[in-house]
This record gives sequence, C-alpha cells and structure tokens, in this order.
Amino acid sequence: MAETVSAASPLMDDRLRRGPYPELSWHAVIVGWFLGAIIAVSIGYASLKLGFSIEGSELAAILGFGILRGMLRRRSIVENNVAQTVASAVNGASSGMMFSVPAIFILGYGNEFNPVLLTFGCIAGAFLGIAFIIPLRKQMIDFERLTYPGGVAVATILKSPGAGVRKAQLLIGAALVSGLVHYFSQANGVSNWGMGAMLGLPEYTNITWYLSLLTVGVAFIAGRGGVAFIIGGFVVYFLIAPLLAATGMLPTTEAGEIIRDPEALRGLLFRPIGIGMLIGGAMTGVVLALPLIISAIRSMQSAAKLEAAISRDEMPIKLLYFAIAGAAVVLCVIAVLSVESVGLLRGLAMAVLGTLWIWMSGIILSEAIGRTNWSPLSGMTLIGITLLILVTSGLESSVDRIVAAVVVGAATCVAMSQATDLMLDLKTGYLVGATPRKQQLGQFLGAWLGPLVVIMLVFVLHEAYGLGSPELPAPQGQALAATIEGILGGDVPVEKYIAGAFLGALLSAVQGGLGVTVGLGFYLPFNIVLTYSLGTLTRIVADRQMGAEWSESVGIPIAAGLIVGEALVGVGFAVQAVLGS
Amino acid sequence: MIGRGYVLLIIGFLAGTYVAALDPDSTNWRWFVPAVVIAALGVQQIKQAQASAARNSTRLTADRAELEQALSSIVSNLTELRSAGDAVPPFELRFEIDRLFRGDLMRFADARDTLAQLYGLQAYADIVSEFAAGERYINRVWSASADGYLDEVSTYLDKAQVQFEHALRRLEAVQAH
Repeated sequence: MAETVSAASPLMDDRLRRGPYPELSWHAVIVGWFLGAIIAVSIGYASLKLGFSIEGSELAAILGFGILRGMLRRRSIVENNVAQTVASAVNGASSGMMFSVPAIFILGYGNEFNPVLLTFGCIAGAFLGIAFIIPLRKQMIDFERLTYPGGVAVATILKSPGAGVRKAQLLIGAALVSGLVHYFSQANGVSNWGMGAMLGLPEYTNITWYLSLLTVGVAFIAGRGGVAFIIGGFVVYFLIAPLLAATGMLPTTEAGEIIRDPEALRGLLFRPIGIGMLIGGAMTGVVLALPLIISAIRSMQSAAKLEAAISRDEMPIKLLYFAIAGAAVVLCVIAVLSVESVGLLRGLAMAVLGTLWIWMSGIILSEAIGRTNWSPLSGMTLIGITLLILVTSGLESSVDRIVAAVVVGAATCVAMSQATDLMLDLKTGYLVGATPRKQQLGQFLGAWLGPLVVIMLVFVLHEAYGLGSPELPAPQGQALAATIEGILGGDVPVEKYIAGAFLGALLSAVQGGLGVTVGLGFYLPFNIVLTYSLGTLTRIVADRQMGAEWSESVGIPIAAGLIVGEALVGVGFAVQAVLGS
Repeated sequence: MIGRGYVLLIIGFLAGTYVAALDPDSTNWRWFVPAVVIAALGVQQIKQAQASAARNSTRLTADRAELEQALSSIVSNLTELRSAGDAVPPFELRFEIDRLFRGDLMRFADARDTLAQLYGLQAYADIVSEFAAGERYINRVWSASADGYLDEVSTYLDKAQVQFEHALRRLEAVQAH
C-alpha cells in the first residue's frame, strides 16, 4: 500500500506518494470485470440489433477512470490501463461470439449443440488468442511501431489528467462535438450523406459520406499509415467500377438487370477479392517477416537466459509453445465432442486448421487494426468457418457439419478478437509505461468471463425474441448463416479469394502490410473509406502546415476526443436499447 | 528504375483487379496471369532499386550517425535528470521528459531500419528491443510523475538509463565489428 509523503520538503506536497505504483491490483480486476460485463451485454445486444460491434476500450477507460479515481480515490494511470484491459477482455468475447453463435440459432439448430462445450471452447480460444500475441507484440509494437489509433486514443484519455489542462479541454471539447453529431445522426436515423446522388453521379461511384467524426479521428491518428487503405477504396469505386460500367461488364441479376448498387457490387465482386488480398498480403508478410520474428524470439530467449529486466516484463516465450500445442488439443477435443460423427481424425484435422487459422488471422487482424483501426473480424471468421465446413465435408448430416464447424469456429473467432483487443491494449500500455506481462495477466483474468456472459445473453435474448426475428435481426449472424447455406450448396467464391491473394501478395512483397491495408479498402464499405480520407488528409496538411509537434500535442487530443464522444454515445444508445427492452 | 517498377506494378495490379472483378463466379486466368506477371516484374524492379538505394553509403552513414547521436543524447539527458534529483519538482518531471526525450526517441525510431541493413536482423532485434523497453520505462516515469509516485519515478529512471546504455553498448559493439 502506497503511503502519502509528509510535506517535509518544499518540493513535496500531500499528493506525493511513496511505495509501489499500483498496477495489476484486485481493484483494477474487479472494476474491470464489472465494467466488462456491462459493456459486453450492451455492445452484444447492440450488435444483434444493429449488425456491428462497437469498440469498448474507450468507454472502459473512461468509466474505469471515474470509478478508480473518482470513487475509490486511487491514482495510477497504469492501474487504469489494467482495469480497461480486463474490461475489454471480457467484452472481447462479445464481438467474437456475436458474429458466429447466432448463426446456429438462425439456421434452426439452437437445440443441436452443447452450450457448455461451446462456452468452454470460447474460453479456451480466448486464452489461446492471448498467448499467440506474445511474439506479435514484440514485432508489431516494438519493431514495426504500428500506430493502433484506438490504443493511442485510450492512452490519451488515461494520460489526460497529467497532460495539462489544455489537452484535457481539447479532448473533452472534441468529445462533446463528436457525441452531439452522433446523437443527432442516430436520433434522426441519418448515418450517411449521399453526395454522389445529389450531384447526379452514377450509383456505382458510391460517393456517400459516413457521418462519423470517430472515423475522422481514427484516420488522423493513423496518419500516413491509412493512405494505402484509402487507395484501396478509391481504386475499387473510382477506377474499377467505372471501368466495368464503361466496358459493359457490370454483373446482372437473374432477371437480367444491371447491378449498379455499390453494396451489391461490393458483396459480389470486391469484398471476396479484398478477403483474398488480406490473406495473400498477410501470408507474404509472414514469410518476409519470419526472419525478424525468429530474431525477436531469439532475443527474448537470450534475455530470459540472462534474466535481463526486459525478460521479466514479458510473458515467457515458452507459453507460446504450450499455447500452440494446447490450441491443437483443445480444438480437437471440442471438435470431437461437438457432434458424435466427427471422429478423431477429422477432429484432429479441424484442430490443426483452426490453430493455423488463429495464428494467420491474428496476424491479419493485428496488422489491419494497427494500421487503420478497422478489424476485418467478420471476414476472417467467414473464411475460418468455410475451411472448417470443408473439412467436415465427409459427414452425411449437414446439421452435424454446421454445428461442428460453428462450435470450433466460435472458439477461433473469440481467439482472434482477444488477440486484436490485447494488441490495442498493449499499445496503450506501451504509451503509458505499463508492464506487458501484467496486462497479459489482466487479459487472462478477464477473458474467461466474457463467454459466460455472452452465452447467457444469447440464450435469454433468443428465448425472449428469437434470434433472426424482426425484433432482433442479428444481421452478422444472418450473413454467416446465408454464407453457410451457400457453402453447403457449393457457392464459395474461391477463385475471387485466390485472385485476391495473388494481388495482396504482390503488394506486400513491395512493402510489409501494404496488401493487407489495400485489401481492407476493398473489403470495407466505401462510405467509411471516404470519411476516413478526410482525417488522413487533415493529418497530412496539419503535419506540413503546423508541424508534427502541433499534430501530436493538439491534433491527437482532439482526434482522441472525436473517437471517445462517438463511442460513448454509441454505447449510450445500446444501453438505452437494453433498458428499453 | 524504381519509377518503371511502380508503373509496371500499378498497371499489373489494376489489370489484375479488373479481370478478377469481371465475373462474380469465376476468374479468367488467361488474362489474370499475364497481369500478375507484369506486376511481379514491377515488384522485382522495385526491390532491386530499393536494395541498391539501401546500399547507398551516404544515407546509411547519415542514419548510422543519427542512431548513435540519438541514443547518446538520451543517455546523457537521463544522467543529467537523475543527478538533478530534487531540483526538478516531481510533478514537473513529465514535462521535462517531453522536452528532453521525445525528439531523440523519434529520431532513433525513424532511422532504426538502417540497423537491419547495416548489421543484420539479430542486431536489429536486440537493439530495438532494448530501445523499446527503455522508451516504455520513460513513459512509465511520465505516468508515475503525473500520479506523484516518487519511488516509481526514481526506480524507472534508473531502469531506463540501464536499458538505453545497453542499447548504446550493443550499437557500439556491432559498429566496431
């Protein structure tokens, strides 16, 4: 327990303390559990209602800040960081499970799977995702110094009391503006502004602005790292779509009508190519970065042998080897127990595939979120479940195929979402000086709770409204259910994935991460890319005209405020929806 | 050469994307493969040009000096700050950190890729690991200073100094080889 220093010296006042600096404390863990459960329920419900997930780290940071500092009178930035890490670890299960689990209910097999096994699988998946991050932290945060805009925003919040009044004012002012804009946007049901339609431009050019200051803030913090992402989107809608139209090659409906709707074009053509680019870009990145990853692991091993201070800051690298073996065993057990007909060999094949996919998609997601703050989790889940369904192709019953693939897929999905969530928190931790090992322990302490909370929420809501009903449409689950039906019917755009993989690989061969970032521009709706480009442009102009120092000291607090304001209002609407129902 | 490489890459990439997007169900590989080959030729030319630029001794010399200067400056500023003791009020220390270290940390980070080109990946991994830990410790000093934890400030100033001295020694050792 820290003690207050008596005012014996003119330099000392009663705010100064002696003793250990609180970091991984029970206060932080309990506050984290409490906040995480609330946020997981709110955001989980919102994602079933609205179809997208909201990043909960900013909210966890602010609420944790209020409880630890305001109510409990504790004063430690790194303890706040751990509380927010624990809370977001609990919430990590929400985004991981809300995309995959509802699909089983929507397909009508809600009574065909074992919820205890699924929950256990998701908890195991969460732990594995955390362990897989050990070498990635070193590579992406220490070596590549990826931006992680969301992590920077949270660090700005945590540091705001010590950063001076002006920065706090900028942060709060921007949060108010952003929150108000989002409130009016949501209250009036206007999320986009179709400028292209107003100007009479062709529909496929897709000039629609996403009315989100959060997106502008994220792009400002990402800076030049987001340029490739923008290029991806512009290539699709300003070059390829017009070229397809000019050459009369736009696709047609079964009735022979030309498809000009940009969302339909994205779903049919560009998103599958984008997913392929993400995979090809990441695989090339792994191959090129492999020598560096090996060097990083050697560096960690030699630091551990010498018992250097930095080795005590990290989780032991041995944990990664156990995690890889553990992942295969746990996924195999889950696969075998999920339905009787799977059998040991097929279960083993699913386990190996699931483990490889956790690793590969963990890299893709960490890279994407590190450079742009957008996580293509749904696309990676889709590919993971597609691969798992292909492994189950020998099973006679399609119910067994779906249940086995989704149960194992949910575990891998939670692993992926935990991995990306932890990378964001570790970036925040780096900026506030937290100890990675303590953050990772905090993530372990939070990760078990999320699957329990979310599975209960899913069953309660399904009982009350029925997942997939007009009351609770669960759009992500519906999309996955439709895809699963498509896969069973042989409708998988494999050629698009392969072509995209070649294109992504070429780009990543030129510059690490380029294929992933450009692919993300293909994958996401263009309205997000368009609004994102405003933030990137503002950052480039600000750096040139006002200087990098201005961008750091003024621009980033404002950008962080833009992120926080919109996130808070978004969660507020989710809470309102929960209370209202 | 690098310009021509980028032109080939862009043409091949756009052509490949267009061909891949022609049909929702399939890809015309007879057109796609040549487009990818053109892009691959572009990648090869870019890599050659980048390798040649990486061997450019003027830039490498400048970056090498930058790395050493930045680390030396961080070490000497840390020594000065630690010896200043009570002269810097604890709550003011974080502003001193921003003033004394941010520029040098950024300088080193910007030039760090040169380490891999000059001394290999293992040297890069070892030195940048030490540097990153040192930077994280400095960030912790900032946080502890803002929260008023005196012992933590002093402990992590010491740890940061050790870390950056290790990094500097490793850099000097690889330079001496």
